Amino acid sequence: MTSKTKQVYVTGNTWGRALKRDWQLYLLLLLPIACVVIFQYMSYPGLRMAFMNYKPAKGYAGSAWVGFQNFEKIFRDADFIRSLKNTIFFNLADLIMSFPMPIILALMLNEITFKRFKKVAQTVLYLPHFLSWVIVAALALTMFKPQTGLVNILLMNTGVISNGIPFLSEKTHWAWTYLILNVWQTMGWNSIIYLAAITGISQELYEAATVDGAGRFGRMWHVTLPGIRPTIVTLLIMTLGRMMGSNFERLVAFDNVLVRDYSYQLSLYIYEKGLGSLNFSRATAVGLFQSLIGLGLVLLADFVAKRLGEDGLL
Amino acid sequence: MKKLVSLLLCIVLCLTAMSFAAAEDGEAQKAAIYDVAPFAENVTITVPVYDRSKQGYPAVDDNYWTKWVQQNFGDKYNITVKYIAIPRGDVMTKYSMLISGDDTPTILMEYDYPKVAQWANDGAMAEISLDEFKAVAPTYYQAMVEHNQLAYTDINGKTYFVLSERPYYDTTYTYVTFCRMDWLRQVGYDHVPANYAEFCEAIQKIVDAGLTKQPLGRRLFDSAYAQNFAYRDIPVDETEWAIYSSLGTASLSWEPTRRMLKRANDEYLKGWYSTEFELDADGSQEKTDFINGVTFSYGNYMSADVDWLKAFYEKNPNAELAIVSNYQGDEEGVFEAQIRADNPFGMIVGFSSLATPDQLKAAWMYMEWLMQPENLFVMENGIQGVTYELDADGLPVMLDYSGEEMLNHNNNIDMTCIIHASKKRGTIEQTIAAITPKGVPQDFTQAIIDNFYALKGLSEAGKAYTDPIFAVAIEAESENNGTLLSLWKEYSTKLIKAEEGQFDALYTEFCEKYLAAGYQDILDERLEAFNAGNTTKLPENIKNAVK
Repeated sequence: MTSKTKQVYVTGNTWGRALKRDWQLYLLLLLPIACVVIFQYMSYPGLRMAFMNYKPAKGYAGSAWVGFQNFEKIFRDADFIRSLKNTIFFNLADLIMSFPMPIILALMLNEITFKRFKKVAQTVLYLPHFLSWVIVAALALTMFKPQTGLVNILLMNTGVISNGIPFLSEKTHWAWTYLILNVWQTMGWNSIIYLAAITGISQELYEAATVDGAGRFGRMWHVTLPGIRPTIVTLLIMTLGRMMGSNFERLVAFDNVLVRDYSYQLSLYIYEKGLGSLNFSRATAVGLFQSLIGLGLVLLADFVAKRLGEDGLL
Repeated sequence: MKKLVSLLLCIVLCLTAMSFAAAEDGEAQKAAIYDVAPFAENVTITVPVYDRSKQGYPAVDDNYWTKWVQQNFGDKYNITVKYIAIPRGDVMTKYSMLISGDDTPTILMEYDYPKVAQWANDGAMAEISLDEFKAVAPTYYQAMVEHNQLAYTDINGKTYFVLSERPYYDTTYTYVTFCRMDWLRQVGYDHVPANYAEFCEAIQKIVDAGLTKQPLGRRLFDSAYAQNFAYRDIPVDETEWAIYSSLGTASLSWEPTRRMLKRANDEYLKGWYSTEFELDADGSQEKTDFINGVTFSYGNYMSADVDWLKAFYEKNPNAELAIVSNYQGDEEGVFEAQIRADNPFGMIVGFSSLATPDQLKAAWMYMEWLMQPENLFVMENGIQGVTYELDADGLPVMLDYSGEEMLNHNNNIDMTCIIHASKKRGTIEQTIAAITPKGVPQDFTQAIIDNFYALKGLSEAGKAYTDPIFAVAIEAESENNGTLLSLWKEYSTKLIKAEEGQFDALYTEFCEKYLAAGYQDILDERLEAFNAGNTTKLPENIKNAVK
């Protein structure tokens, strides 16, 4: 009887029992939950600004309700459409270029057997993550200016080119520079999660694959990649959730007037037409739009992942 | 008869008593208003101060002089004076953040009318009574009267602003452009170019002589100020002036702006500018190029300590500089010397709509206190023997001092700008002597004085005027100026860098886009305000100016 009661107690899944059993863990969870509630949910009442002609000095009570007028204005605004297109395009490009790189890097790092070299390589690869975009952009400016950038000076002095390459001042060149620098800055750090997932793969699987005649690439393809597939799917879903977002710091740091056709993305639109002009209603409306699309994409990706047999995120 | 006399006496007595009583009431009220006794409970006021992020200077919101104000003013009246740093290059964003967070500073001030108009229109500023202001700050008010500024205190029929003084506002004498006289001498000139044809000829000779490959400095247009005054017709059409002339939004589609950009494009195509000037948003590269002896000329504001001029002479010890003629750009049908006079006021000062009556009074007391000559003198000059010495005329001469008591940028101008836009010092000659750069091999005092009188001559000839000021808020401007500023930066750069023969087509295309992006709405609204009499008018001498 005692044993039976104990068994019920252990496997019980009611809140009270779970709390009683793991109260230390729930206590630990309290702080992050409080942060999420305070910084994420408590700002929700502010969303009403999207439906008002909000004037900061007049507050909510003194500002007029305007229904969907802000959204109508936004969707009729050619600048919004331009920034939306750019945001989607560059996020897709970032996804294509930056998402696979940490996986490839993790696979390669995992194959390095010389431990000291591996450590040095990892440190060098992680380092760019600790540089802010402002620093990265300043470095890029010094390196890639068309007339006085180090790279162009080198190429011109060695006779490879006669005129400087406009890495930062012609929109197509700028786009490549912008995307490649993102790969450089993020791939090392993002590979950590995959490396951690790889360490969880049983060595027995590698041994079995070796016995079955799998070479190095065979083991990567048939053991490592399937082993980290759930991690890849989870990170992919999370990345898709950010498809409508754009990194304001990165854009501002790299922005210049000659590349606005590409650099003008939603975060700049919100800053210029919203915050810069004291038009908080418009900024909130665009932010709400971004969030809703992002949520939709996450749900869709999660649904597709589950249909393909993965665990999904939710 | 006796009764009648008694009655009259009674009436006279009563009236006299009543008038005394009324007078006493008035005095009592006046005394209450004039009461500058310390507040019973501490009052905190917040005062904005520009942060120019200049190296070598103390923090603008916490330094020896902010503490000095607290000790000498705040502690005396039981007022806590807090300064709030406002990034000079991003004023509106910082204010937006403060206003939206209910942290509006007690004092809001800016040099540009459209900005303060926006704050007033959005309800961030309190409506004030000038009579009440006069009662608390009589010296400040009297200065406004003497400078004919009362006409600028209202917007939308309500009073929001008081205004600081801008000495010699009809000239731009504090801004001086220098050029390489030694280069000019090397290519056969003994004077600075007196018109555009001569200028182009001299520049080409300088390039041909191998003195530089990139003779002219240029940077990105980072503000909406299109410097097109000299490209305008003489006399300028008043309606065009009213709708286009503005610091708030660049007048891309106005003919003078086209002329200005076209000339810049011609010069770019001659190879006279850096091909990457658009990457120089803050002008640092333009300045560095001059210091390094790459470019022919460079201009900036003068003060006793001009770091870039000192650096220039260190790099180019044998160089000789001269001040550029105001007529250097003159070209028939394109450019004739005209200058943008400043507003007849400096800072436009308003007060937070969240301020309590005590905070308002404390802010006005702060302004009145700072206005007093003995306080203003210390704030602008510091401590005798430490930051300044007196010259033979008994006028302060600033010392090169970098200790704790050092004054912030340009003699604490960002703290004293609430009183006047630049430091005054006796006559204009004495004022110029004080702001003439020291510690450099050449003495420019007389040259700057001559330049002042040349500018004064332009002003008297009706060739110096400012932008219109609107007594109503231009809603379309508040709505669109952020977008239009970024378009202006983009389009002006692309037009300057346009390839041979492409300028006109590009200009037409950009103008259409610019107008559609909200500029047309601004022009329409401005025209409506102008027709309704809600703007200042162009002075008669400007309307009658002759070429």
